[in-house]
Parts: sequence; structure tokens; C-alpha cells
Amino acid sequence: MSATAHAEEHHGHGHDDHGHGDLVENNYMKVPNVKLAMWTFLGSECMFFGSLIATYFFYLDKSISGPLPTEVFSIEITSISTFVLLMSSYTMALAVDGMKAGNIGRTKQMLALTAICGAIFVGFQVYEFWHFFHEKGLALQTSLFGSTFYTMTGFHGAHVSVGVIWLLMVLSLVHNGKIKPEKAVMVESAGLYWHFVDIVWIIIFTFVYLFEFAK
Amino acid sequence: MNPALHDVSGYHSHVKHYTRTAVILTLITAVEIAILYVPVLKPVLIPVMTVLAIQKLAMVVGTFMHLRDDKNVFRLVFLAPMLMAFLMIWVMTLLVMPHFEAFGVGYVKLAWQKSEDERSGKAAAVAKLEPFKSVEEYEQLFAATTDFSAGEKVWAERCGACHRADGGGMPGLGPNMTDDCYIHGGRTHDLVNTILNGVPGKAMVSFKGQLTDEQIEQVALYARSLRGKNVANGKACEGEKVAN
Repeated sequence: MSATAHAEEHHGHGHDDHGHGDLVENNYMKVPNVKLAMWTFLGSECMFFGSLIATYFFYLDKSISGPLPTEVFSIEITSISTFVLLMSSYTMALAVDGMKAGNIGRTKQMLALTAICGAIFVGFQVYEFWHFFHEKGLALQTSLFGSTFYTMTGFHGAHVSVGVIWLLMVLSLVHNGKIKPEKAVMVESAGLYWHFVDIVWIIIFTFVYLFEFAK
Repeated sequence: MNPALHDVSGYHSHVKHYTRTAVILTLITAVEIAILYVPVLKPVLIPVMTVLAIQKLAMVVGTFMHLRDDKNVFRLVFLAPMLMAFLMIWVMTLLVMPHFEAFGVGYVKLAWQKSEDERSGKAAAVAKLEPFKSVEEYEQLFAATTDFSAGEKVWAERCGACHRADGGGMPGLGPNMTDDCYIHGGRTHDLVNTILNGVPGKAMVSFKGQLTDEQIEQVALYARSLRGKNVANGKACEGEKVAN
């Protein structure tokens, strides 16, 4: 549905008693404020993760002590967690689709499924960090690799964690009828954030993990 | 691309489209992992994986995030910074990584990479620097020195990270400087020589230019004064034992 149709529908329902009328309202550019804000924020997030990834590469192979990336990475485990996160993007798209189609039941199921997939991904990362730290001896202060790797993937994991909390909040708002189908843009915005976190992982998985075994 | 998106009379579900996208994304990921195990593809792995990753990214952004069919202003505020981010990663990578020459552009060599090339034997032999004084002059200087505090300060800032703050050495890094074993000689002259030239292939880099000539002498004298202190939990003897 186009943004214009959103506005018409929104005005058709008249009043807004939940306080985010200004968010879902179209601005002078004929787009909902919340969506423009989200895309702009995600643009700045590109630069944020771009600098973390660039820093990782700048210092790659410059560590004067081990362990090396190839000694700690496990392609098998990371492939599984990558698949889980990829699928969560699919369920998120279905949740937004359900909301726009007015299917509250499907929206709630898919939001819950997305949050569960996100939590599983974070679980994999906790295991990975635990394994690296306790069994491989890689700490934040061990080497340039440790510092740049943990900072980059740690910030990504933090973004996934924030996303899980956000999705659960959206789920409860949808459940309580605080977000109705005419305000689907509220779910859509959370979805944009979620998909962004997924694309950051697409880049990290390929550039950081797979490249290490491809060189 | 999908006419349904422009249908304002009622919402048309995209479930089939999303499912197809999810299946393709999974297949691309499977291909990315599978080609790792094909030896003949090794030379082209990095460019191919880059293309596949960008393709996945484009599918998520275009289809799941609807950017393909959404307003231009969203493309502007998102894709412009994303382009800048990729440019930054690319440039920073080319600056320092020789094995990324697969991208077709040579990398800019930084001054501090010299020692790395020496390690791998790539660079031609670099002219060896001579210590500033003779062996005898240094022996006399050490015998006459009572205050090592200037060298101690340099040690704390530059040497302690690898040789430990108390000089006891670190596993896999700097040897113990408080025993009476030396890999590259234990006279003050030898120590100045090692600090000046570094040890190719080891973490011991040349400190010429990083420290002043005076600081190099001061820290060499301090290191010489550590001999025989035999601090607790020091690293075991490496190299040759010298007579005190």
C-alpha cells in the first residue's frame, strides 16, 4: 500500500488516542514521519557499522599474538546462526504483510517468531564469545583482532538484542489493540530496523568469517 | 516491479514474493559456504563472495524493506550513507591489505609495514644501523652510570608491554631481560644494536625514529642494569648464557 493510501485511511478513522498521530502522519514530503526518521537513522547506522568493519580490516593480521581468526572461527556454527537470522527477516516481512492486510493473528505469530529467532541468534553469539574467551583465550584486550572483533560483533549483537525487546513491545501493543492495522507503519518501522540488522550480519558473515577461509 | 504495490483500493499480500526471496537468500548463503570447499575456485572466492553478499543485501533491502518500490527520499537518506560506508571499508582495506589485491587495485604501503615485509623476506635487505659508540665506550658508560631513571621511564612506556613491566618476559613475546641469557648478545653495545635494528621475523621492531638516539642508549643501559635481578616468575633462559 502506498504512503498516500496510508494517510487517507488514517484520516478516515479520524481520531488518534495513542499519541503517535504525529508519527504516522504524512509530512510535507508525503511520507510518514516515523518511516522517514527510521530510514535516516538507518543511514547513520550504515556509517556506524561501516567504520567498525573498516577498523576491523585495517587491523586484520596486525596482531602480535594469537589466537588467529582461523583458529577461533567455526563456519558450521556461524552458518546456522546466520540462517536463523536470515529466516527472522522473512518472518518479519510476513508480520508487516499481515498487519497491512489486517490479519492481527498472523502478525502476532510472526512477530513472536521473529523475536524468538533473534533471541536464538543472540544465544549463538553468547556461546561463541564464551567459547572464544574461555577456551581459545581471546579477550577484548588480547590483541588487535580481539579488540576489533569483539567491538564490531558485540555492537551487532547489542543491536539484535535491542531489536528483540522492540519486537516484543510491538507485539504487546498489537495484542492490546494499541497498534491497529491503519497504523501498520509502526510495525513496518520496527521491521526496517530488523532487516537492517540482518543486512549488517550478511556483510559481517561474508567479509569477516568467510573471507578468512577464502584467502 | 510488482503492480500490486500501487493498488490503493485494497491490500494485496506479498507472501509468495517474500517466500521466493527467502528461498533464494538461503540458496545464495548455501552457495557461499559450499564454494569454500572447491579448491579450484580459490583465486576468485573473494570477488565472487562479495558479489553474492551484495546481491543478498540488495534483495533484503529491495524486497523485505520495500525500498525498490518506495519513495525516492528513503533511497536518498539510506543508500547515500551506505555507499559512503562501503567506500570507507574498501579504501581502508586497500590501504593495508596486500592479499586484497584481488580487487584489482594495488595497496598503498605504510611506513610501519616495512618490518612486516622484512619478516616475510619480501623487502631487500635494509641497511643495518651501527650503534653510536664502540663496545668499550659503552662498557665504560655503563660502569659509570648510577641513575637509570630515564631509561626506566622509556622501558615502562615502550618495552614493558612485551618484556613485562619488571623485565621478566612474556610467553610468545619478549624474552626475560633479568636473567643472564641473551639471544642477540648482552653487552650494552649489543642491546643498543638490537633496539636500533629490531629483529626481523620477531615482534621486536626497530625503534629508530620511534625513540630518540639518546632514549635508545638510556633504555639499553637500563636493560643492561636488569641483568641478574632474576625477578619472580620470569621466563626461562633463552639464547646463550653470558658471564657476568
